[in-house]
Amino acid sequence: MTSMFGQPIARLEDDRLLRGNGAYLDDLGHDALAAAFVRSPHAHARVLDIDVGAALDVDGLVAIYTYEDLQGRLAEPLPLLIPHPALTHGRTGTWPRTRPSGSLSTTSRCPQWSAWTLRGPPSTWSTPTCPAMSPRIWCRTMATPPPR
Amino acid sequence: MFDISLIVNGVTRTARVPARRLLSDCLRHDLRLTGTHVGCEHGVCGACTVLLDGVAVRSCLMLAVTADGARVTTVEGLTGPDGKLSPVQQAFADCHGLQCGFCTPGFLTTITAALLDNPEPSPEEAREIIGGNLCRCTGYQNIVKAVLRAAELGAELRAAELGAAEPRAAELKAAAPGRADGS
Repeated sequence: MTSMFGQPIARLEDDRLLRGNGAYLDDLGHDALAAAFVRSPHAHARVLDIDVGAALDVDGLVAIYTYEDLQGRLAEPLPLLIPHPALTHGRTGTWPRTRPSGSLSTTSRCPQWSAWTLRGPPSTWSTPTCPAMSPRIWCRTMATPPPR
Repeated sequence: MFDISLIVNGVTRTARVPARRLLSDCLRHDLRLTGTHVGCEHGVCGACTVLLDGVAVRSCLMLAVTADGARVTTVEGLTGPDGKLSPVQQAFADCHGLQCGFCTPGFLTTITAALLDNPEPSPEEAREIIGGNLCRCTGYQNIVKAVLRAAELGAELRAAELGAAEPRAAELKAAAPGRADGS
């Protein structure tokens, strides 16, 4: 391997590319179908049902796939990205909009609090970084910050 | 729809195309000769360059129907009947004149045609020859070298009275009707 230092290494793809036999993306899939992905127009919506009836009449349609049509590994739910036990809700960044009781026993409900539980009590922090450190306990899901 | 007949790389090919089909799309999708690439779709980049009766043209600026009956040479047609790379193609391989290779077919056809007119270009003329082709990868230095190397190889070939690609392209040019500007 050390004998290769300083030596030019011949390219292997030039012959194919010079003959016009490159497989660039638009060169492929001459008989491919076109796919369209339909996404929810509503953020944070819960999908209750997908009605494909009207789409079935579209001229030239070959197939419609929804989640129910997936099989095997494709149909398995994706893993959660933040596997912290305090985040009980399946969607990252949301938590139940219940008012914290004000006691430390509510740490399981709020990511801010869960961060607190991982770091130890606020008295051990050198600079306050969590709004929950203020005397009035508040949660960012509440519109009103504590009075100063 | 129009039934057109082209002689592509020496082979008669027919296609049924609408009037609006570009020659580049006809070559790529109807005739499955995907060596000719489409870079800009408005005649600036040169990736779509093919030889029409031996003359370099922008196939993205031509309708397929206007090429009916013409002799078209694409990059796939530059190799000799024995499959050997043409002098221009070999020069690119020798001089590392390509990286991703997307612009390369356009350069190959352009340079092939230009060397028929000017078989021994100076370095300045070599730069002039490739002035209408864009490359995003190489910085053009090695492509200029490849033009000069191609001229060398072509001269060797002619001197040895061998080869197929260049003489055949010269035949096509000789057989072409005169161009409007008299060249």
